[in-house]
Amino acid sequence: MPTLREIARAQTAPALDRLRTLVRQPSVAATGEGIAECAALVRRTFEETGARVSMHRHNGASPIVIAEFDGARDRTLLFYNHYDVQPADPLNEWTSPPFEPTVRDGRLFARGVADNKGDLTSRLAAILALREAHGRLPARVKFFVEGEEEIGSVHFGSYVERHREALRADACIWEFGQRDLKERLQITLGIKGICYVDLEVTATTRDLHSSLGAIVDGAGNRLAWALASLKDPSTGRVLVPGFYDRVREPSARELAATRDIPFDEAELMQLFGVSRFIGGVTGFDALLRLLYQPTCTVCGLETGYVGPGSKTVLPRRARAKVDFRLVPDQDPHEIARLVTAHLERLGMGVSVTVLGAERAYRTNLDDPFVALVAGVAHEATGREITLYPTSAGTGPMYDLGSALGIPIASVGGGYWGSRGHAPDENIRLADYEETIYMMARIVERFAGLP
Amino acid sequence: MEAVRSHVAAHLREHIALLDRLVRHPSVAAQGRGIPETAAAVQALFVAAGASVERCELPGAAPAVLAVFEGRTDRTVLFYNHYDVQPAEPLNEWTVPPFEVTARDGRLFGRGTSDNKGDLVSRLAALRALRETAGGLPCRVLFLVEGEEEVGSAHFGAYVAQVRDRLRADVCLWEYGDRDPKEQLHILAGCKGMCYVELEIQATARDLHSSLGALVNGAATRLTWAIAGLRDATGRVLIPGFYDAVRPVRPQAAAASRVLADDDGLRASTGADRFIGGRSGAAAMEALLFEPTCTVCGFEAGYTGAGMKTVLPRRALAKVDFRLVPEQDPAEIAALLRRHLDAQGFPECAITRMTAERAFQTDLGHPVVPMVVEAAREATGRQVALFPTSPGTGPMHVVGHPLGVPILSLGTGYWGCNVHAPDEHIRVKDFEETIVMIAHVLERLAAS
Repeated sequence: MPTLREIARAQTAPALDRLRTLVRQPSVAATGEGIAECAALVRRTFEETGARVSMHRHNGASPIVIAEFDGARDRTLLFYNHYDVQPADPLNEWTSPPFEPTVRDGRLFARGVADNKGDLTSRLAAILALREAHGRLPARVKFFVEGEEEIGSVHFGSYVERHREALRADACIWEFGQRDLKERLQITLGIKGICYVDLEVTATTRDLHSSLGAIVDGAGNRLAWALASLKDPSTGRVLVPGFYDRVREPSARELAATRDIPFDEAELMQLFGVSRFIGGVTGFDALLRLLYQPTCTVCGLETGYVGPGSKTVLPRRARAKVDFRLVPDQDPHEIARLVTAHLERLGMGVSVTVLGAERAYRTNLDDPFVALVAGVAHEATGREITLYPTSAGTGPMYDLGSALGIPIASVGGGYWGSRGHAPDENIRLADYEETIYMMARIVERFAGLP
Repeated sequence: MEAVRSHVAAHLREHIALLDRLVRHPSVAAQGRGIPETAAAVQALFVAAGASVERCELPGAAPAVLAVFEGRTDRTVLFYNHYDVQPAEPLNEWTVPPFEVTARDGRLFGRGTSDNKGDLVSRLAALRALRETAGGLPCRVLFLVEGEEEVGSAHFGAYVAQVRDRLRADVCLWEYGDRDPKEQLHILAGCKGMCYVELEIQATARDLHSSLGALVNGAATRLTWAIAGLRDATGRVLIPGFYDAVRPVRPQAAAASRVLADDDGLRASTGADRFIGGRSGAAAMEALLFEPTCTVCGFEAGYTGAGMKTVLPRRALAKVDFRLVPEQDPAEIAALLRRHLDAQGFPECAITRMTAERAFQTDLGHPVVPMVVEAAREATGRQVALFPTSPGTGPMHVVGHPLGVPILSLGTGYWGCNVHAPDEHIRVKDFEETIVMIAHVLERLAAS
């Protein structure tokens, strides 16, 4: 009788076929291109494997696909994935066409292979391998596949709120996971929140001749003062009163885990092209800041004339986009109110529009699910495991984790060179096969099998 | 003056036709359109009017035209004008074709009607009226007409140097002048200087994911700090040494800003209900005329489209305009800015100098000043508001400083001309009145 590893290996080729079919279907959330078609394709893919599938769409949102597989036990594992992808631009930087899967040097290239269609299909392959090995899944499995992850999962929270019963599970495997430069496997157990705002100043009723800058502050000067008031240049500390009131410090357990995270600051500085980090932080302090401190970052600025030469204009309107990354237990809506109040006190006439709001989330590191996933992942891949109590990035983990009250671990098929969101996105075929087996083993152990 | 007035009224159509001929040359300096052709057309106008004409040329520069008219006396007036215009864009906001004169509701529409072809034609028309009513000009008249005013007059100083020995004059009448909403005639006796710079920060090797804002300040954040540190909300520029060369305002000039104080007028022209630092009255006018400025004209970085993009932009750019007052040297201001940015921790912020011009102010005690003011009042019947300086900038220093000549600016404009904007125009009555006024100024100067 073949081993699970052999069965998983045999599932790799058909899984790659499903992946190729999925990535040939563009599904760009930012433009809406192919979203409905891709949702239908995901639905059909699950149906062909005998899953119970339902598709949900409300308020003009991208469809959410829910697929369920019955198991020998009632314990339920939930997979979170998404079928939408980032735009393929800039197209001329791709070596092969972005929506035409191409294998080169043991790697599969296409938009979405890493983020996140590869993870979706490797997990499905794991389920099929388990069914083949046991005749029946050892535990119940649900897939929650959304189509708006790349544009902020705007309808995720309200969906989870209304379908809490249907989503009920005992633990969740989140969408992604990488192998780092030293080939260690990363498992991420939390995520930062975000409060993303548009700031706008309208200083005058029309553009004026800049000689009038002697008596009138233009929108450009005003917005620069407003933005400069948000953060201290020497320390990077956010200067909005009340901003840090709800910041939860990392626990002793989280700090201990953080000490095991490899952090090569010289390599990062070279990658970023900087000679120091904010406030001169180095080493472990820099890592602590990256994972546990909230941020304030200007993502975009615009006012007046920026073409060639000089145009002497006092611009009437200026705009900026500012991204605050949040940590538990900061509330993005409260942060928006604090920022608004701070800017009102400053009196520069800045208006604030909230474009994105998500809370941070961290799984309790003492939850047995954490040890289970880490143990199985190490065993199944032979890799050293690095536990990240949180990612520096953001996602809708809080919506799911807090509504369902379950532990969430993110682990998957990516590697350090996967180039998510960039041209030549790719996965390594060996990682893909390894991930199918690892996922199958996680489900087995989750079900209580040896 | 009455003979001149009748002559101007009788020949007004011809003067408007002449203006139309010039406006039909789309001499857009910024786009390099029609420049040599327009210079040739201006040259031909002067030749036809009986001047001896010299075309000044420098490699890569728009030509300038020097015209000399002899007169009955040795008293000499130098006119400064320019034949280039601003781009006509945005074209869809014009209600008439921009490059021809359209008469409507007592106004003459077209790019350049106000800035500055209308003034050039009004001055030529004044000479013709004097010649045809009095048999000649009462004084010598020089014109120096350039073609790069709208792009910073980069070669004008060199042209002045080329023909300097022929530019000796008793007064220089500058290019333009407006009537304000109260219908007072404005005469300007100076202008501010300028140091216009582009600031650029490259903070990282590439655009980064904005979650890395925990460790790295992106270019946009750093640029806002750099800009915010240039001046405070009271209007005070924070660059050390910035005010060192600034002289106290002369008593005569300070008195002028009390006379000229006009909060309602400034509110109407700016649309602002409050001025920097809460200034009002004479203090607001004094700031406008005599204080140097620091103004953000533009900035850009990262993503500004719809929705969210979580990016830490690698590059950010700003344009900043410093208006300068007499004795401030734009090159020195740029050097002080460099030192300030270094000291503030922004050594990576690159400065590119775009426009550099010095301020100029005519000594209001010079006898030619009241003479011109009085002549303008007599010819127009208007109240005259004498501004010791314009809040704006022009190449006055390039003429006034080497020639040591007093400069006064007056002309055909009014408060609603839409200068540099769609539907630029002048009022026919102002055009006619200005021709008479210029003729009268020449007569009075010859007699003084």
